[in-house]
Amino acid sequence: MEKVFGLPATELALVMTALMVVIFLIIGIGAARRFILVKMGSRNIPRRKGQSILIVIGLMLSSSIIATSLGIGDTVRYSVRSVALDFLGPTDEIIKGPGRQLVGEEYFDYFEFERIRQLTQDNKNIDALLPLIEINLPASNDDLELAESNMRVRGVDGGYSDNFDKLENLQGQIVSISSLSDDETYINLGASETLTIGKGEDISVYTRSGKAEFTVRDVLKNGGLAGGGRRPYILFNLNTLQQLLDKEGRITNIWVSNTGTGEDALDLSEDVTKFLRTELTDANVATEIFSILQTKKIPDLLFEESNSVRQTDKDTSETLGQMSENLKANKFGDDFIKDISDYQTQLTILGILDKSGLQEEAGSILVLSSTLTTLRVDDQKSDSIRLAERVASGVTTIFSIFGSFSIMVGMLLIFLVFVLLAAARSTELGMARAVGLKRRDLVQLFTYEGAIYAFLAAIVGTLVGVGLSFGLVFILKDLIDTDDFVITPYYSTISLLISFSSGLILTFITVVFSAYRASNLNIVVAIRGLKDEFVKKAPDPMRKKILDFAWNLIFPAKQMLWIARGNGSRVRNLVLLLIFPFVWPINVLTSLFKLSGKHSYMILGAFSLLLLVSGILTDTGASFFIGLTGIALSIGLFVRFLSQKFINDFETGNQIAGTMEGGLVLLSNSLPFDFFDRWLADLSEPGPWFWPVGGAISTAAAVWLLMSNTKILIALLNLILSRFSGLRAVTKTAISYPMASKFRTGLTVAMFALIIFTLMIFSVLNGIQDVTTEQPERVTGGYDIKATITPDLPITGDIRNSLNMSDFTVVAGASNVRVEVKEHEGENNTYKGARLVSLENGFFESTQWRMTHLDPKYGTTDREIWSSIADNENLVIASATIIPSEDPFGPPDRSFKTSYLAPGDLKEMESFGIEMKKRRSSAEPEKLIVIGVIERLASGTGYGGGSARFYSPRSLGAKIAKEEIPSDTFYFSLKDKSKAANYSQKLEKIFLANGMNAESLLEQLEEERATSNAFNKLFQGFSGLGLVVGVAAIGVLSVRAVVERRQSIGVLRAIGFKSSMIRTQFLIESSFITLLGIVVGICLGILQSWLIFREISKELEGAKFAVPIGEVGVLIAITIIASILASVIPANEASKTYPAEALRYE
Amino acid sequence: MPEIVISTENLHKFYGSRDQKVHALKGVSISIAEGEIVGVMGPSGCGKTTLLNCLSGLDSIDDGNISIQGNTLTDLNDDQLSELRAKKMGFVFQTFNLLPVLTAVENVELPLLVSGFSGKQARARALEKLGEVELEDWQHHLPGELSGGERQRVTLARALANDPAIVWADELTGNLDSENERLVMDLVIQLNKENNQTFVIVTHSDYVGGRTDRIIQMKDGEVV
Repeated sequence: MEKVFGLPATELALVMTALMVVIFLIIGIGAARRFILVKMGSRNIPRRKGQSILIVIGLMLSSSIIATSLGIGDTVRYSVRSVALDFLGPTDEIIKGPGRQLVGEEYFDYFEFERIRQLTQDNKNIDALLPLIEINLPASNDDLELAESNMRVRGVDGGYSDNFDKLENLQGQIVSISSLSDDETYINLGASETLTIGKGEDISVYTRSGKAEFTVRDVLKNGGLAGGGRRPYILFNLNTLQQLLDKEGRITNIWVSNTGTGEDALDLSEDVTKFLRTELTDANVATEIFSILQTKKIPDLLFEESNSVRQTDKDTSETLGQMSENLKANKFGDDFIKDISDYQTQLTILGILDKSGLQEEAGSILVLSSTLTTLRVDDQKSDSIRLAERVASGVTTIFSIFGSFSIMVGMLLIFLVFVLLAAARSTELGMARAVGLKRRDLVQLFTYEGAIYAFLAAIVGTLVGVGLSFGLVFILKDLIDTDDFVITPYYSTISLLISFSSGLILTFITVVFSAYRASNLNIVVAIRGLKDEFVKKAPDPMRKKILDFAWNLIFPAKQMLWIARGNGSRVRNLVLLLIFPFVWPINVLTSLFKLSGKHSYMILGAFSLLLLVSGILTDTGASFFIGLTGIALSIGLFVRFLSQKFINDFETGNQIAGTMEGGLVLLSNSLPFDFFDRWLADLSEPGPWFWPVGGAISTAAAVWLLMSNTKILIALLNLILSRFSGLRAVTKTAISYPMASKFRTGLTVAMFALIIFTLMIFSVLNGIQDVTTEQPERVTGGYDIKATITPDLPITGDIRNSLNMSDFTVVAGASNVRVEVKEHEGENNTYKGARLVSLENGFFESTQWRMTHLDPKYGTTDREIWSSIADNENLVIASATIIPSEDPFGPPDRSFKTSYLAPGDLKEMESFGIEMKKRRSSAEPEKLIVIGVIERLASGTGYGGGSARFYSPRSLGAKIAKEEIPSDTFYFSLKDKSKAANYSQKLEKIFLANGMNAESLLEQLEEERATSNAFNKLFQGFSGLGLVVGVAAIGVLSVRAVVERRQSIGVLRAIGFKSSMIRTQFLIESSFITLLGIVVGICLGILQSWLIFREISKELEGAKFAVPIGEVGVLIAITIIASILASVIPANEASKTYPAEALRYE
Repeated sequence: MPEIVISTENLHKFYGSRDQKVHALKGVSISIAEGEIVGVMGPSGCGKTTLLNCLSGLDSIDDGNISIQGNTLTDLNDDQLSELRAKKMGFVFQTFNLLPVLTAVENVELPLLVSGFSGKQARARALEKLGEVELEDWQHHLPGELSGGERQRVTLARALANDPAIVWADELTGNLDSENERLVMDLVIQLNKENNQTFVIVTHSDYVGGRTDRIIQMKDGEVV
């Protein structure tokens, strides 16, 4: 992949590898100097094999998840790339007609090919050209009564095809188009399989002039000129197809093949595209436009626009910026020609001029632009490759975001493991300190041990991740494989390197942090096994704190001075100096917090306020929300300060403070998404990465809140459990132990909560989609069948005449025209692309599509709004896609968007004016009024983006297009709705000559729902990987508990606990911790999904919020069973301990 | 004549692997009557604690016979032994061995809950026993918040919570100063008189030994 997490992949891999090498070097040098520490650290690993295996399993998850995300990204990229290369073969660029035709394929003169051949014959970057016609036509095997309504048909000039691409038959022999006679054709393997036609058999092709029969000369292997993927193709000699279509001397495409193959050819694409666009552009016209754009400060206007769209549309921003520079520098050249010949750029410039009151200049450019180019040049292959990159990067991001919860859980586990290891070895470590080991030696000791775990985990994790990604791809294969797209598993070396090194680095950083914490022990406390509070470190005197802070303000200077004077280790000081950009701010902040002591809340509050204000000033949602959370936390800390001052009972004070801290942070993170809209409407939505961050903050706050109130929790549980006489004694100890070790219990609860939180959101949101099950008519409009025909083969006359109308209740046709739209008086006054769908009146009377917005002046119900436009061609209804989408994962949509509506606005709207004209025309626009917006559900079937669409009566379509546009889409309602599938087939047969493709809408909806569910389950499964870590954590905790509490086990046995009671106690304990995590996760998940639901329900009327009890039950059961299984072995070990032996244990 | 509640016959106990076997008890035969306070004394490693563990069913024996209130321990399975301990025995250890996560009253009520008392009954009885050791006011404190003497008194209260017939004490004053040692022994003797319970106390302390009714002296795994 070129980019991973928005960063260049190769550079990222290099930096990661370099970092990894630095880590190994540091460890290596340290180890060589004091090998005894390596020995002390590493000998613990084989001592407890089971525990070590559990640790590695837990730690490997970060690497696994990163490796899986990258692997899936790689596979998608490789597959999209392969498909593009397979489809395009040697074709790098495609030259097409100017794009002015409204319906069907756009033809141009063969003469253009001759002209381009002349122009390019000296260009060494271009290897070959091929003129052809490419069109969709129906075809059939009449003998077997098999038909394909959408057969791709190519008419290729045999004089150039042999030089362009090799065609091979199934036996591997090379065949030539020029050898085809007038009644012969080649078909590819896809077509042969679809129609069951072999060599020498007949195939029928349908055109406007009727059916024509041809003999199949040979069956070709798929790929390149013969058609990529599994899609069916028929190949003709160009002349034959021209005659058949009555298009003598006309072609639809010229394919261009660059010199060289593979990446070499692809590298030339930009130069070749620029060359062709320049050559196909009238330089005189371009010069005239250039001159106009140099006047009246237009370059400045372009520059301003470039800045304003920098965030939203990077490509347009770059183009406008470069053009502005060229205009200012009077630099007319290929770059300007290439940019100005792009139609979208022309529209943007016209919009800028219109907006600035330069109508005269805009008018002149509009007229000139119609003669600027005769043909369009698409850099098809590099465009497809770019798409592959974009899709792959998006997929990686989605998987990484879903996986980030598990990565966090993995890091928590590392931390937990080290807390436990430190606790287990506190006496040993205290002794080590007592005999002269320094604190940094302990850090090193733990780091060596952790580094070994990290290394093993990164290796295992990466391999598991690669395996997982292939497994997931295998599942994806079933979901998304089509004739056009075949998914092929792939893993790149760069991804392998990134996964391994990032997993290792992440683990290592956590290991060092945990080691630092573990080393922070008091020798007396450690040796005597006392609790930390017995010996509290005296606070530093104020003078020292001030001095520290002052030194840290000039940290780099201090380090230099230290090195010069030889204060402390020179190597250490030098390393700190080298990494001062990281260390400096951390040191300044730390010493500032130390200086402020009990009043740290003021510092935190001040920083948070700064963030909040900067968020408001720059409309940046992320800094606003982080600032808000910080303020909530600082209020909580202030309460802690007050309670320490005024409440004598430490525990009660702690409880109040903890409740406030956790509660306020949780509250600030749980506000409805639109809570601040009324004051801060322009606040940007934080990016997708904010989701895991917010989730982590909420979970931490909830767990903090819970662990601060263990007193209440214990009392409540004792009250409930005391009713079960057999379990009273067991549950008392099972609850008391985890509640006494708040830190480790809190960490484990947080792990489970984080994962269950994500899984819950998936479950609840899956449920919301079910609105399409209960009310499918909101998607289908109440119709049973939707049929489309090939636009080049329209149905002549009324379709109803060809049907037995007693079988149907409604038959309504629709045509669609590509148009350009802008707001009449609103902010969006630049023409943008859209489609005008013109419908027959029967549709308005019968459709059950619903509105999310309507203007009550025209009707208060959906039906009234539909009826309003039926007989008024000045009114239109818009699709939901005109409302700017805030979908961070969706592809960029450059079609028309309105400035009058925002997602989640109220149902009532005020109608607004738009101007609409035929695409690529200088026609006078029609002024129309948008009176309603259809809900997003109705856009085709299922959810999804798509470009802006407007719905109108038939007459408006003809008025805009300046010609009658035949229907290309038909909606059918059947009297007997159960026969939709049968009728679809019948309709395809009846209208085979028109290339009709009919589908039962309910069946289609069902299929889409099944695919969507399968995807959700896939993501859910992926997110659920973190549960493995949680379960591993429970295992580690149990193993540790058995060792730590051996003596207590002896006491319990002495006072009468049976061995089964000991086992039960440990199992209840692990289930209890798991259950706490589950409860926190479920509550947070329900809260968060309710917030999401609130947003969705604004656009999805009738959506119901429901917690899928069954699914949640299964989730709880699986998690608890897994936790119990993880603690069965240690619990059994505990139960088998002989009481006398346990009592002897120190 | 008081009834014999504890008796052993030719008790043998080995520790360690086949190559390095330690003969911890070498044919010990003793009998203790109901209501007696018996001290078990001897040098370190002579088998005092082993004898106590075997008598109380905390450890198994390799040969011989133990009878507690007419129950032959070798005839009982692990669960029956647990039940016997829960209902008939109380334990006091040198290192207090209170559960650090439970409060004083919860520690005392735990054996009662094991014996099937309801929560309310267990709490009432635990408070009563804490009262007997004069620690009612400390009921909600965790062991970590109590002094050594107080902890041992809680342990004693826990050992007596079930009104057991026999109380086993292993170095019950080992971690206490002389003042607390005296207080604890006063309490033991007072409770013994009030409830006629049998006390078997393993001790190094001459003071404790001096306050028992009888001393079983041990050396190298044998009663001497």
